[in-house]
Amino acid sequence: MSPLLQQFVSETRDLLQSISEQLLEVEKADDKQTTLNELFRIVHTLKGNTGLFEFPDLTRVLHAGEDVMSEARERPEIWDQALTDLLFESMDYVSSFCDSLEENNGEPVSDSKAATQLSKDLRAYLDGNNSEANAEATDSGAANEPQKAKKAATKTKKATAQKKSAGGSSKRRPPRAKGLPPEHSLLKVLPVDTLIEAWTASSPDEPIWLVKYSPLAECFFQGDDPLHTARSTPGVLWGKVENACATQDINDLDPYQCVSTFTLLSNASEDELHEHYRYVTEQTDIEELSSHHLLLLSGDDQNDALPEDTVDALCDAVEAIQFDTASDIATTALELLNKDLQAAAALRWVIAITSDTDAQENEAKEALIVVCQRLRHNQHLSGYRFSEPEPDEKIEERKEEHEPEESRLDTYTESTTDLSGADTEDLLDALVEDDREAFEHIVRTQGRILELDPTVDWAKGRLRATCNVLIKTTASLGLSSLIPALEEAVNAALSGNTEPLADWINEVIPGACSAVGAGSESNSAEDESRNPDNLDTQQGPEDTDMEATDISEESGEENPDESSDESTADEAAEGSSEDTESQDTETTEQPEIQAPAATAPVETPAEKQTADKASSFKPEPAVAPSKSVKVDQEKIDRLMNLIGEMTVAKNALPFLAKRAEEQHGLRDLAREIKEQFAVVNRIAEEMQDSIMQIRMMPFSFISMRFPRLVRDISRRLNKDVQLVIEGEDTEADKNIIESLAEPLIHIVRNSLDHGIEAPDVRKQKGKPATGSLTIRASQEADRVMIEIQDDGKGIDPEVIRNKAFEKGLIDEATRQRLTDKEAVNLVLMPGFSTADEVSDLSGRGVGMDAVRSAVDKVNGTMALESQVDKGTRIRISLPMSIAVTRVMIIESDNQLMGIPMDQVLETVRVPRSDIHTVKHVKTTVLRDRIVPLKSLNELLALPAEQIINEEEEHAVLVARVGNDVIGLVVDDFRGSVDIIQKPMTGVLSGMQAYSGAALIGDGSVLMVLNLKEVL
Amino acid sequence: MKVLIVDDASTVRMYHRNVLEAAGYVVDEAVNGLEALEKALENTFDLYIVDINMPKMDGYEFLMQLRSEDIDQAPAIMVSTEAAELDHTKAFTAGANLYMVKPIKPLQMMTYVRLLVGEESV
Repeated sequence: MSPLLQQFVSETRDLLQSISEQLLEVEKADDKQTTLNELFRIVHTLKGNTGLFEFPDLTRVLHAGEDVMSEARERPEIWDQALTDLLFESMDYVSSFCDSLEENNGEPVSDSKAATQLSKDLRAYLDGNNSEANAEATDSGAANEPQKAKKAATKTKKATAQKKSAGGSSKRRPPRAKGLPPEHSLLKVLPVDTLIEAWTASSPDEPIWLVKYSPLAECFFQGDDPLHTARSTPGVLWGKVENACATQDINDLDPYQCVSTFTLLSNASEDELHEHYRYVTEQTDIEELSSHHLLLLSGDDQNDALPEDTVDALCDAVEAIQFDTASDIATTALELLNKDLQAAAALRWVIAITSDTDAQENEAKEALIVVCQRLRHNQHLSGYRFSEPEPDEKIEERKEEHEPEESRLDTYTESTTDLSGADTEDLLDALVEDDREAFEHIVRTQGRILELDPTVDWAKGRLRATCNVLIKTTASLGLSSLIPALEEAVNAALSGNTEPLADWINEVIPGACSAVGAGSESNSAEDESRNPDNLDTQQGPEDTDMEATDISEESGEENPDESSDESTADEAAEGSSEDTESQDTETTEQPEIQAPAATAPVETPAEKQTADKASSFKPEPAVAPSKSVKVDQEKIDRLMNLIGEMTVAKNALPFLAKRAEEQHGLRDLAREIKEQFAVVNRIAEEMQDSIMQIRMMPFSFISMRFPRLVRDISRRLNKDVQLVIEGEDTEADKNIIESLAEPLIHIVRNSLDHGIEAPDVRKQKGKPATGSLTIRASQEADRVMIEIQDDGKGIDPEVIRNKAFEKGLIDEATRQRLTDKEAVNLVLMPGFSTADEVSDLSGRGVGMDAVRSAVDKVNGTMALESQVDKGTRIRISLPMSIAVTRVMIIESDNQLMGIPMDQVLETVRVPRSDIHTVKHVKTTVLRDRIVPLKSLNELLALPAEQIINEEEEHAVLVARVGNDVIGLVVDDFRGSVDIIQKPMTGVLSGMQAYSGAALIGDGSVLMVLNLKEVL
Repeated sequence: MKVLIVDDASTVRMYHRNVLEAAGYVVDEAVNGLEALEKALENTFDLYIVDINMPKMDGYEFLMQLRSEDIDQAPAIMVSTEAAELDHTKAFTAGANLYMVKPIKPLQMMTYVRLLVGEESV
């Protein structure tokens, strides 16, 4: 992947995060406008970025998103939760697009259909809401009816698909009560003939079924015949076979494996279908559709295929139930249309529906309305929201403005002969095509700039910049013959008379500068004459005066306008936008140019303010890009490994010193080595610290997902939850932070699903309707504490006790003995899941024990506290880093072994006489507590007895394993050491008893015990 | 020849930088109008390539300040994804000398930049 693409992906992810924050903000914020502005800006930036690459799908979605945001910015009232959902969905699409970019090395695997669907949905939102405005703005005549229906449709769209019950009573509904069904992406690709055929074959009262049958790869060995099964499906209307892994090379295909999937459309009854697929139920997905889902316009997208009045007439006819008229209109229009267009598909639908004699009038109308809505939608894909008369003109004007520009350029340059610039033309012709185009464009633009309002504060600077551009550009092309005249004109311009400059421009590019000096340059002329520090004033003062009088005469009628303009600057700006380009009339031009200038000071501070405000919301985006560097994690890991080796190497120095002294009797040398060691040691430790620091990541890295997660889940469950996240800047090692993500999501889901009650239940219990969920991260010594607390219904210890007993996890005695707190913690045991029913969100039988094992994996501990109806609190304690582990070295049977220091509670010498055997278990009493003892040699199946010292004492290492405390009898203790633990790999990876190995100072290997497994 | 790229999107900055550096220009970057203004005060640039939508200070405001404070009158290109005519006028009024619609093709950009900074063609 190219660096640019990498940059793109990483920036996109940052922007997506900001968008997601802002989206959540919009829902809460009182001041929507600020947030919407900021949102628009981010989406806009994102879209701009995609333009650098060829990702049409991505651009399509983002463009639609940007348009919606732009609309929302203008009219915040259109914002609702459905839109937030849709935008979230779109951002998810963008995010997965980035994933695929990364996975496939810059070649995205994009889901075009999803992209089209999303952008359609977004735009539908735009149009749907816009039609509301239209309906208000214009008379709500018959032609508007379908639009209104569509608006209703967009809103209820999602619900309709499932509403229609199977069996279908013949109850008549009023035509427009039903909304526009969503466009099914699978059906969308079908040719319209197939769709019409299927539609005619189905009855509007009966649902039709979309069957997706994905046979197992090894289905042939189970005696299945997928093709036969699919083909003999009852009531098939249409079907298709797809290769599940289309990209696979033919040579890699295993003929004994089934890779096909079947998609079928059927109008048989649900029971028939289930009966047919009864042996492969888990391989089939049967989706209910109404016949309206078939009313799709497949084909090429072209939004100006049909004149608006034709569409209107069609809609009118449909509304008035004049089906013959509608059919006629459609037939006529169809003849003029490219048959591959979506619009043509719509017309064919109209013809097919109106000629379907079986259909009831109401049903036909219903169907026709759907088709008309789709047609309108399709035809108004862009530009529809400009359907108010004025902006429409604006668009057309703009179009006109754009297109003739180039042709005008040609005609003008060709016709220069009749102007004085024959030489100029020759000169330009000699240039390279690109250069010439660029030159002309630049000069033309400067001509335009010269025409602009000269009264603004910065007009002088602007003029000078324009002069600079002209001189530089001309010089750059070596058009030296043009330069003397230009310099003269520039000098004149800088001293207040732009007329020669305009003339010069016109000479080079005829017609490029229409505002020939006079009126517009008046004020700058005055300005300049007041400024004594002007450049060479070639023009005499009389000239300037003349200019000035000229102006006062000419602009006499404008001046009153101008003064009023200033008070109503905003209106003027809007007004001016209508007559955008009016090069020929000075009167209209003046306010036009005036307006942006006058508004600028009014508008920009406001914008600035909002921007400032917006930025203060955020935790400060990466403003100074130069200060942080993005580095591949591998590089840091490598550094980490190197420093690990360095630590080991440096630890060899004391041994060396010892040898120098003991074997060679060089005491001085030994001392020097030790001194040097101290220095190296310090540097190495600092280095290690710094490298670890690089790997540190703030908790916010994972916590930032939670607002969205909580919002989504609580909405799905219809619960009201307030999420509070504290300590987001708490830092821990990247691996720890990352490994925490899954467990935390699980806990949060559990809390929302099983913990926090529905609002009405909460009210009954006398709690506030809004539940609260707090996630708190903090640092305690060298550990990171994460606390998740909710105020839900809590966990009933009695229920847990019974359940654990039923499942055989505890015996009767334990059941009686367990305290409430201990009982509650039983949910952390493997195989325990409290959910009575498996829900969509949590309770898949994995339960809290999965969380616990994830926490255990990074040497963390967790505890659970809960009170019925008060809530639950889960505390997770994690090491800050797993890169360096401090271990206690112990000796047993002449071998050295390490035990992670955070498991070691204490080391004691226990006299042999204090060891008792209770119920076949060796124990000792330590400060009034019974501690079971285990011999390490025994645990590791080493034949030797544990060595006892002269005082008849055993070396006992008291360790905490999980929630138990045990005493490990070893031979001797050897102090503690920092090691970089390497996981067991290769043949050793199966050795569960060890969690890893490390090199220690003398170069030997130290095995680190995994106490949990050993016990 | 020194060019200042003013854009809040790091991808766009990188893209422009790649093109310009390949053509031998010295490139500096600013993430918003405010930072650009500070840089313009401290250095001289031969060209500014300015985005419109930026936090803190947008491209219009930056250009107006650049021109009005008489900080630098070097050529400026305003780049944006908006093709609307209205934005062109706004950009020129603010002090841009050229308006280009993103994404700018490398060749096109190099041609225009070369002309605007007054570098002789080869």
